[in-house]
Amino acid sequence: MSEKTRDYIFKIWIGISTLVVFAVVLYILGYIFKNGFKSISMEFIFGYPKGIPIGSEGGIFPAIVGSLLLMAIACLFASILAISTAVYTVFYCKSKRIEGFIHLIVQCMAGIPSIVLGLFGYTLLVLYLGLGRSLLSAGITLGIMIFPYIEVRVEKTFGEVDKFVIDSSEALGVSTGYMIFKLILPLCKTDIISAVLLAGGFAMGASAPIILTGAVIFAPIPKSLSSPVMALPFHLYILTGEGISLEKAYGTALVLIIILLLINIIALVLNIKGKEYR
Amino acid sequence: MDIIKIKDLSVSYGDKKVLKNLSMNIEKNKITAIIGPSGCGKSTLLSTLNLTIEENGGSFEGEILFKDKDIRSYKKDDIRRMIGMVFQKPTPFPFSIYKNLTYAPIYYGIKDKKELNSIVENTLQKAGLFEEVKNDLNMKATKLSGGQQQRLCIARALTVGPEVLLLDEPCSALDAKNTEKIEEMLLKFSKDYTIVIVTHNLDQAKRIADNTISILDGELVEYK
Repeated sequence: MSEKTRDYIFKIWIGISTLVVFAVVLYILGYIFKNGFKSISMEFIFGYPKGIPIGSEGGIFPAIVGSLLLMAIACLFASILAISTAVYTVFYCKSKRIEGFIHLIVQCMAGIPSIVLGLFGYTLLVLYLGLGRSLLSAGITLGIMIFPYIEVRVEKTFGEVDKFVIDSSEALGVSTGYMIFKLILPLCKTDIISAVLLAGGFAMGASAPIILTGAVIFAPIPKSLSSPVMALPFHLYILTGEGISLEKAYGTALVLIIILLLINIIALVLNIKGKEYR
Repeated sequence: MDIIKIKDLSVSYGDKKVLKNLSMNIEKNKITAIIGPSGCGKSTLLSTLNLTIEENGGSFEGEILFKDKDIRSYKKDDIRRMIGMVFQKPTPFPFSIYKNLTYAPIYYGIKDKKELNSIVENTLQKAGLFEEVKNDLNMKATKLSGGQQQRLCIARALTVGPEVLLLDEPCSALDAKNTEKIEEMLLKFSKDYTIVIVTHNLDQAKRIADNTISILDGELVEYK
């Protein structure tokens, strides 16, 4: 086979692959939109689940609020840990061996199946630490799940900071801590927020880690961190799994997808804005 | 008077020796140019003088005296306050011009608004940038032109009140007009500061330097 034909076949293969991926995504989005659109109403978004069996009528407001709260707690918990880890590995860690070890652990964490994380959260947070099945337990478990994603991206962002900028700061004699708070973090702010939001979207879509740690069927809006919570993916799972209402399930899926799309778009815009500085 | 005295200085990165047994003195309030082909160790010499060499993974042997005291007996912060450095590439921090210039003074505990303002005005004036930017001190520094950015970086290095200013090919990214401006400025500086400038431009060295040091393959070849 000549190079030319090989190149040609390769191009066709790339084209078809791209087309297949786009087609599948568009089909899923289109199908959910078509089927879910008719259940969307003010009552659906701002109402509580009603009917017999419960969930067959009414709305999904507690699940929307629950999902947003879970995402917020997961992001807060994970970003504090992830940014600190990234700061340590990039700016303080002098040993290549320790750095490699940290990378290994972070990669391993990214590979843990989410249901295993759920069991871990259940054992440690719910039972051992006595936090109970609550917003806090579920939020922290999701936080552990998204920690590696944030850490990797934040570390990459730090690594992209112009070396001469760091050298200039060092040449002024200021401490590394001062440089991080006054120069590096402000410089990477938009990229960090974008990374946290993307990971938050990932957390919002996950149901396995929260089933054992905090999600309770048709729980109302949580009153405190120790209350159980309802979340959109879990609500969706119950509606279809128990055969309660397929129509409401499509509506729930649509709302979840729209929220995730919005989060991703915001993250993307921030990411583009962040690049302007470099 | 010699502000910096270097005796038998060898610098290495790991096993690689970059500078070998260098001895020379740098005169106070004079412009010393270091010339030589790229990769000969000129920049390494500068980063040894303000001790950033260690953070970049290098080490040095021999003696460097700053004001007749071993450079290692000073605290790193103090050395960097007294010996400022400007790099090849203009590196404004992505904040306003004003914040670029108050970044280091605030770290050193200057909180008084008036004092900060006067530091900003003074250093900008010395760098010949004040007239051009006095009405937009809150403008993002990255929006300045390349030449202006480099002069801002020089002003920023002056904000901590150094006695020596190290410049690592400060004009390599600039056009002839901006280069001329910076050269003029450096000539004016020599009454207040000691200047050490790395350049691979022989003409530039001739135009501005009082003393010229040539380095080839890590060794001193000429000193006048």
